[in-house]
Amino acid sequence: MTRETKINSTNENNPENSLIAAEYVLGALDASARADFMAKLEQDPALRAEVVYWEDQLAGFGLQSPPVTPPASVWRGIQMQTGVRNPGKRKRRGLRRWAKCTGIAASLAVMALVATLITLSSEHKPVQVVASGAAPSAQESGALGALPDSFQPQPSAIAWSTSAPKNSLATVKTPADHPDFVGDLQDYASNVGWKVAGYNARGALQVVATGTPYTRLWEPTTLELWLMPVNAYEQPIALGLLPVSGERILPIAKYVAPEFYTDYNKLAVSREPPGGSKTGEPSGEILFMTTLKLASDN
Amino acid sequence: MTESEQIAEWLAATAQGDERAFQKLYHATSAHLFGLLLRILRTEDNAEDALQDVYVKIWQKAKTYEPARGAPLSWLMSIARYRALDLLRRRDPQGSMPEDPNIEALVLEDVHSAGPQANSETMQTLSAIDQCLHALRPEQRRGLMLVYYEGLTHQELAERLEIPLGTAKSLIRRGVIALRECLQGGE
Repeated sequence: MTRETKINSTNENNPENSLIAAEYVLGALDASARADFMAKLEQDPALRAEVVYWEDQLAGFGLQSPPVTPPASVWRGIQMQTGVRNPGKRKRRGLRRWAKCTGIAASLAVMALVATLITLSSEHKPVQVVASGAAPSAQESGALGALPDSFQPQPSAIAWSTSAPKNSLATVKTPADHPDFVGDLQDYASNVGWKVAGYNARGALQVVATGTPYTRLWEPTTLELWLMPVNAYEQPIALGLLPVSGERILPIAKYVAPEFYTDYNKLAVSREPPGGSKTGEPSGEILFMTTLKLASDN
Repeated sequence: MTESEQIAEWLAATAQGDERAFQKLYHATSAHLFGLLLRILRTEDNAEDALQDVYVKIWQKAKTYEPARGAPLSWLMSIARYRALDLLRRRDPQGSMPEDPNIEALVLEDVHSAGPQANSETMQTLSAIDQCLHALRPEQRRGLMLVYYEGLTHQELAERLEIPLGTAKSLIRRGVIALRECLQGGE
């Protein structure tokens, strides 16, 4: 691309190879032709050099797009996945903010749990809080259930009641009941993934496993869901353990109230020891991350 | 030290696990990669997720870069673009993205659209590619841009432009030949 590193086309005696290499780099080859080309590529150093030549030249196309500074949350996500830290940056402040944040979160969690228990005890018929008949222990041990092909909020999965207080998990789910936010955690290569839908008023986060049970890839392990901060000095908030299959309802209290979207806007999944992280933040590898989408954006 | 030499140095240090060098590399190059990803993937959410994937891969694979692979920024841009195309194909394996009505405007943008973050070396590269793109016939230029930014295959390009498959292939090949002649003529 640059003058001092300019790569020359090496296949001038074989213009056909040079053309196919250009088409490969451009992305014009269909799947079959691409596979054939990649097989040849492994055997032919001259062809690889031709690919490098075109990658170098065509990078100039990409530079035609005006640069855009990405949000700070991207770097935070990279740090979480790679373990790279900002050397010495705001460590003490971060710890204070973390303590404050997790203190609030813990208080809210307790309030939500108490509200739920009060509601449950006051109902004529107890409602199902962890849905789909999949108890956490069964899910974490790798029990397989029906795998939904696509996510739809399941009215039957949560025994909503019209008379229940707003903060309870127990209210009736109606056709007009739409999530306030959604998230899509997917690994297209392994077909492991979850659809997440949040209902702020009810303090409920619905998590549905949508593909291959993750234990087929990472057994034995536990995966934990986190709400991730925009700013690197804030700390993630634990939301709960993910189901291997089927659906799980996690209490979110007011963690993800609208004002939170500006400070916490991503979901992440980390690999953790049984029962979840013992440190209050992701302690294992971050396997998934996605940006929350507000229902009002759709 | 030139821009390329500096990026290559950060890449080499990153390959040795130097976190500070990786951070500098990110801050120096991420705007270019994010601009490209936004252009291809169209939404900020998708582009942010892809950018994160790309830099995690760079952290893991930095040691595989060597000068013979071309300019370091080109190498980084290629990783980003392949990731974007991969996402487009996985999410819509049968179809393709709707055509961006601004595709022609993009092609015809002045090189100064690169903005203040582009330094003289990047501007030099932009100027060279810009001159050669303008030397192409308009239909060749449009075909190459559609393929590059939307990940269209020959078949998809033929459907998009409502032309026979053979004509689409010919359009791309003639464009590539003209581009190569122009780029090599400028060396």
